[in-house]
Amino acid sequence: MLEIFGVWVAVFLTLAVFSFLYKDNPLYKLAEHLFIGIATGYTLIQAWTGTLDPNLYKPLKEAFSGPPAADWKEFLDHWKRSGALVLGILVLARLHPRTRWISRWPLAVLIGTFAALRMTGYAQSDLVQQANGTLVPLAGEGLPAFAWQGPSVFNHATLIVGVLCVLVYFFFSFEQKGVSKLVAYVGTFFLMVTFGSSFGYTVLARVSLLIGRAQDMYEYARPGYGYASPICTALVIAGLVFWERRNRRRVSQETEQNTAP
Amino acid sequence: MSSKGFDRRWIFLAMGLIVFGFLKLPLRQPLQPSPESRGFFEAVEQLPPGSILYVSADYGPSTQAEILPAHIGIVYQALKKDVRVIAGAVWVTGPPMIDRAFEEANRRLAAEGIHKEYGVDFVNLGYKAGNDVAIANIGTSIIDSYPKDYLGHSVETLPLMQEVENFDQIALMCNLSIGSPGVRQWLQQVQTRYNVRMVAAVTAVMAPDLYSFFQSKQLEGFLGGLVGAAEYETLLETPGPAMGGMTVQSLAHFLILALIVLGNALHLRSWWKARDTRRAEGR
Repeated sequence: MLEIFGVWVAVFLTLAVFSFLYKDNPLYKLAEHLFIGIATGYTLIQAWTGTLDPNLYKPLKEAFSGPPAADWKEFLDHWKRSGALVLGILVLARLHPRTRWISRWPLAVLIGTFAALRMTGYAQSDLVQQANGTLVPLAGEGLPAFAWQGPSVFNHATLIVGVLCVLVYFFFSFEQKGVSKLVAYVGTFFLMVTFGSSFGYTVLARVSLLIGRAQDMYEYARPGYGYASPICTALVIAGLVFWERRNRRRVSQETEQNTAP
Repeated sequence: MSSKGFDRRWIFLAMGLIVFGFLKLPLRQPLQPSPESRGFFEAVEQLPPGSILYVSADYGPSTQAEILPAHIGIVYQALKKDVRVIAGAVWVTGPPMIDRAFEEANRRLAAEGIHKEYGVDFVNLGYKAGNDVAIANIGTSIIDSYPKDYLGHSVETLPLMQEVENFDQIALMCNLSIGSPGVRQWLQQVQTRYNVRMVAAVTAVMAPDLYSFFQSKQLEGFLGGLVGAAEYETLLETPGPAMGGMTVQSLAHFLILALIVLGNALHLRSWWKARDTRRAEGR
């Protein structure tokens, strides 16, 4: 029973969101507000049950109520999470103008940790390994001259030329003229192909999402779900018609009032 | 007809009619799996029985149409090969998707007479907040990052988790991603650092970014959107929702192509008209 209720809510909210394609209306607003409220509540609960409770509250509770630590190592192991708690509380100092400066300390720790993690990871993954991936052979035994997909002299040459031309395009340390201008111009063609493929994939993604909802709507139109899809469709259309007629009546009344002598 | 003043709701209506009208037609579009989809399939297929696959489900219901078929597929393929699956998420909406994928994969396996047990063959670790830091922490110690699973069990009590400390015990990592934190963060914080084999399934919007990582062999394969999932279903020989949507996807693309051509033709016509008017006025 609860599952069927969930299906009805899902179908109604899907159609309420789709109704925005007609125009902004109260049904869409209802779905929008419900989504924001539920998403916020869900995120809070997940943050507590998934992170704060098992990683902070319970270990600290055990440290308080458990037997005292036998050595320094165990002591640090018990209380290491209290540092995170202190830093977390310091962030709340932002709430008062006089103590706002204190919140910079935990933020400094956060930014420093994040920057260091990102820098090392980025350098290894996006720089070293990507540069390594560009070092491909242009000749060799078993390397075909041309292939539609996979390694070939043509594909490798295209890769190298593309990388070099785009790098030159993004080189702004001197004015581009002569050969460098021509190379940068070729680079723009590679960029256009990249943007085109991104746009094509974006269209693909959006249509896929619509197909996904359509598949669910067909699934929920079955008797097992109480014909949720056709009934909700009729309800949403009826709601839109009622709202539109009321709007038009109000507008015509206002017009009459304004034009009355 | 001119492009100005054209009510775009006609386009929405046309798209809706095509998708809803043709979805249930019994048409199957032949698919040729791409190298990246084949790489994804082969990476799982090569895993020895008993090895462990880590799946990070960093997506949610908003993109389940694109990612869930691939998610169900990889869990089904792994469990069928007696590969054990540990799943977690660094997106708050991920854990229910993990449950759904395990449920559907187990339903398919049960139909084939294969039964898998929670805690022994698969685990849902739930959500971990912290983005890059959380991913780096999971790389260092999975147990330390997830003291409890999604159902609230202490992970130390689960037989599968007793064999795992960090990514040294993980044979393959699969990231199901729709944004950040996602594939790039897993590549930066885990794949490169611990030299873990990795595959990914992403939304079509993200797919162009991953070709360079596939070319540099940082990713052994990836699935881009519904097409990637449909290719994967072809390789698995289990027709699912992704394959069912492919014909409609192509029809919708034809409509968009036709609209692009029509829009450009109308634009050119108005440009020619304006030019002729200018010439006639002698400007």
